[in-house]
Amino acid sequence: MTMSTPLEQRLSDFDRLARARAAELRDADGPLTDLRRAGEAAFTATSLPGPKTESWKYSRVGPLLEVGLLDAPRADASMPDLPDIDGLDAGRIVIVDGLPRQLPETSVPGVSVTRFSAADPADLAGLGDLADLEGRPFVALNGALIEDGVLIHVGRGVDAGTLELILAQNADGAPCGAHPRVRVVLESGASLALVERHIGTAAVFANSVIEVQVGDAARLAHMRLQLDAGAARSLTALDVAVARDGRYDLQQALLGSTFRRNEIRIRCTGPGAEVAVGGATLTRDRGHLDTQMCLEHAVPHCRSDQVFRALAGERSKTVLNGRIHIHPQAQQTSAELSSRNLLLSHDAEIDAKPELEIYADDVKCAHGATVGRLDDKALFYLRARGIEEASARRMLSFAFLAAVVDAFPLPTVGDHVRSALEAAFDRPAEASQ
Amino acid sequence: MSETASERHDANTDTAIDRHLEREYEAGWVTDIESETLPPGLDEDVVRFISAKKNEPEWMTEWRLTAYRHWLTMDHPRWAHVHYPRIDFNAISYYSAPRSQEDRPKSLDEVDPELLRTYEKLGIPLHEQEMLAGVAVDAVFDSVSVATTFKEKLKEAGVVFCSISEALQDYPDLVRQYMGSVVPYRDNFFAALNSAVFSDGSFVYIPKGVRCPMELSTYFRINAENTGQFERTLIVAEEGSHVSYLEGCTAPMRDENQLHAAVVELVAHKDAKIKYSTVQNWYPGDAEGKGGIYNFVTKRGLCAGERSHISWTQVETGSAITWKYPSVVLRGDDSVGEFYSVALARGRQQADTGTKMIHLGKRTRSTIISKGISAVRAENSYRGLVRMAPSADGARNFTQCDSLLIGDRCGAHTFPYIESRNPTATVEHEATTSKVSDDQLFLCRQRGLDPEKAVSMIVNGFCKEVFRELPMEFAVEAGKLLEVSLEGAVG
Repeated sequence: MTMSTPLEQRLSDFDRLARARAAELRDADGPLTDLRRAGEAAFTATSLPGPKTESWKYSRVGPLLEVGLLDAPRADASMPDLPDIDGLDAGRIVIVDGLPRQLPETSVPGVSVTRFSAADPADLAGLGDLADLEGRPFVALNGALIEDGVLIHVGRGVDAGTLELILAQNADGAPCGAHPRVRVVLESGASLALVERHIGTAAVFANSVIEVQVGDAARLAHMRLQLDAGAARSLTALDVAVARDGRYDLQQALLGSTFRRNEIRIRCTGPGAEVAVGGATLTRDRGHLDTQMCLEHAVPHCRSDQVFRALAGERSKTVLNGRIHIHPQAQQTSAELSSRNLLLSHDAEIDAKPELEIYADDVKCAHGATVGRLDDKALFYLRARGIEEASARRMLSFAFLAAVVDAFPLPTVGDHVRSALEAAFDRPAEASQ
Repeated sequence: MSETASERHDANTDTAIDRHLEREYEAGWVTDIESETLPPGLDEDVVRFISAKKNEPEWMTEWRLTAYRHWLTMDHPRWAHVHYPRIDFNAISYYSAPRSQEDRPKSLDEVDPELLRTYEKLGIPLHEQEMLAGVAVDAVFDSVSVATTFKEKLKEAGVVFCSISEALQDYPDLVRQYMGSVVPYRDNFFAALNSAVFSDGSFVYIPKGVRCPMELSTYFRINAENTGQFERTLIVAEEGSHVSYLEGCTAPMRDENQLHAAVVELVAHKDAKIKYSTVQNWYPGDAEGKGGIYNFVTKRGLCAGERSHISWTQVETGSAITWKYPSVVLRGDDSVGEFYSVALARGRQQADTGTKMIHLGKRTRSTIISKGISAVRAENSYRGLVRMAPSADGARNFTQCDSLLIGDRCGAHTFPYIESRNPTATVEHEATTSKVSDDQLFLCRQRGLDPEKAVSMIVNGFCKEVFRELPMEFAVEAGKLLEVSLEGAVG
C-alpha cells in the first residue's frame, strides 16, 4: 500500500541476504548443525526491529544494515594489535571476527578452553539453552550464521584464576559480519575472573552471544570492557543463569560507538543467588550506547544490586532499560537498581527506563533514576580553591563514575579502565558537521 | 499461592479476608428508563446520525468523519500491561439518550423523577446542592446532559459551564478553536474513536482574570446496556483565571463489558490554573473479572501560557481495565504540571495508568506522585514519561512512585520512561515496591485494631500525599472508597 521507505528497503534487503547466508551454512556438517537450524528457523519467524518495536525504541538499526555487514569473515584476516592490560596475569582467548584464533594453554587442572569445532559433542549439548531466541532476531542470526565458538568449562570446586576473552576485529578494517559465540560453564563451587574486552574501531558488525552458567555456590567475576569508540557496529547478548548460592558479579566500562547495544539477561535460578551489576559509561561525539538489562528473580531468597553511571557528551546518546522481573514464587527477594546520568552537552540525549515487574508480595524492590548535570555548588567550591573549570569538571565527573570503577574486582583492570575513560574524556571532540 | 507464602499467613486473618473479598459491588443496580438507542454497529452513517441528532455545524460533522476515517487506519494498541479479549467495535451501540431529551426540562422539577431517584441513590443531592456544597452539577446520564444547576451564579461571573452539545450551539467558535488542539484525533486509537462518535460531555470556559466562584462537578454514569460512553470534556482557562473541576463516577452492575473511551482536554493560558480531580469507581466486574467497565481514557492538559498551572489528581478504584495517562504539555515558561494518583486494583482488576510530562518551556516544573495498590489477583502498572526537550532550560521533574502489594498473587509494575535532551534540566525518579509489613500489622493489632482497620489505616497513610491534594468533599469520599474496597484484604 505505502511506498517502501529506504529503511524498509534496507531491512528487507538485510533480511533476504541473511536468509541466503543461513541457507548456505545450513547443511554444513558438524556439531553446530542443530544450532544453525534452530537459529535460521527463529530468524525466519521473527521480523527485524522496525521503528515501532518497543524494545528498540531508542536504537535505530540503520547502521547495522549497511552493505558488507553480512559478509563472511575471513579465517586468514590479519591479527590486530592487542595491547596488554598492565599487570594482568591471565590466560588469553582471542576471537577475531567471530573466529577463535588463540586459546590459552591451560595449565590449571579442571579448566578447559576449547573451540566448539574441537569439542566433544556432549559438551556442546547445552549450547543455546540460555540464549532464548524468541523475539530476538539477532540472537537467532548469531545461531544461524555461527562458524565456531569457544567453550570455557571450570570443573567442580576449581579456582580457574583469570581468563582474558578478547573479541576483536581484523586489522584490515574490512567490513564483515562477525557472530562470536562463547559459552561459560562453572560447575558447583568453581570460581573464575573473566575479563571480556571488545577491541576495534572499524565498521565491522559484531553480533556476539555469550551464555554463562554459574553453578551452585560458584563465583564468577565478569568484567566487560568496551573501550574503543569509533565506527564499530556492536550488538551483544549476554545470558546468565545463577544457581543456588551462586554469585555473579558483572562490572562494565563502556564507550559508545556508531552503534553499540548490549542486551543482558540475568536469571537467579537457585535460592540464595546473588548478583551485582555495575556500568560506567561515557558516550561522545555521535556515539550510541544502549544497555537493555533484564534481571529476573525466578526463585526465593535472592539479592541483586545494580548501579549505573553514565556521562553523555556532544551529540551522543545513552540508553538504559533496566528491568527487574520478580516471578510469583520469588518471595523474600531484594532487588535494587540505581541509574544516575549526566548530560555534558546541549545536544546529547539520555533515555532511562528503569522497570519493575513484580508478581510476589514479600519483596523489597526499588529503583531510582536521575538525569541532570554537575552540581553548580560543587563546581564553585573547586573553582573557589583555584582549580580551573575544566579540571574541576573532570574531577567531579570521575568522582561520579567512581561508584562503578572502584567496584572492579581486579584492581589492575580498574586502573586500566580509569585511564582509558580519562583518555576518552580528555580527547578533543570531533569537529561537528 | 506458593506453599512458603501461605505458611506465613495467619489462618484466622485469611477467613476474615475471604469474607470481605466476597462482598458484592455496592453501587450495582439498573435504572429502568426508556432510551433512544442506535442499533449496534459503526459506519459513516452512525457518525452522521450522532452529529445530526445534536444539530451540529457542518465543520463538526466533517471533523468527526475525518476522525472516523483515520480511526479505520489505526491498529488497536497492545502495549499496555493489560489483557482482555478483542473488542468488537461493531457490537457496540454508539448513541443512547434519555427519552426526555427532545423536550429538555426547564428546571429540576421537570426532570424525570426516576432519574432523580438514581442520583439520590448515587448520593448526589441535586436539590440540596446549592445549600450543601456550593457545587454545580452537570450530571451526565449516559450520553446527554439532562440537568444543569447553578447556571445563574456562574453566568454572573462570566463562567461558561455547559454540555458540549450546548456549547456547539451557543459558543461554536470557542469549541472550534480549542477542540482537538490538545488531543488531536490522530493522537491514539481511542482518541480517534472518541472524536468520531463522542456523545456529550462538559465544556468550561473561564474568562480572563476570573476565579470560578465554586468547584465545578460532573457525575458520569453509564446506564443503558451495551452502550459505550464517549464523553468529551474541554476546559479553557483564560489568562489569570482559576478553576477546580471534580469528576466522579459509579456504574450499575451488569454482565457485559462496557467500553468507555473519553477524551479530556485542558488549556491553561498565562497565569491560569486548572485543577482536575477524579474519583473513579466504576463496576470492576465480578470475582472472576466478568462484566466490568473498560476505561480507556485520554486526558491531557496544555500549559499554553507563562506560569500556567495544571494539576491532575485521581483516585482510581473501579473498572475492570483502566488505561489512562493524564498528561501535561508544559509549553509556557515557568509553567507547572502536577499528577497525584492513587490507583487501587483488586479482584481481577487491571490498571495501567500514569502520566506524561512533556517539558518544552524554560524553568518548567513537574511533580508526579503515584501510589499503586494491588490486592488479590489484580495487576497494577504505573507507566509514565518525563521528557525534557532541548528548549527546557532549567526544567525540573520529581517523580515518586510507590507500590503496595496485598496478597501474593497480584502484580505491581513500574514502567517509567525518562528522556532528557537538556543538560540544565533535572529529572529525579524513585520507585519502591513493598507489602503491608507484618511488623506494622502486628503493631496495630497489638493496640486492639482488627486486621481490616489496621490495613485501612496503613493504606490511608500510604496514600496521604495524594488525598491531601483532593478537594475536601472528594478526600472524604476517596478515603471511604479505599476503606470499602480494601477492608480485610490483608496478604
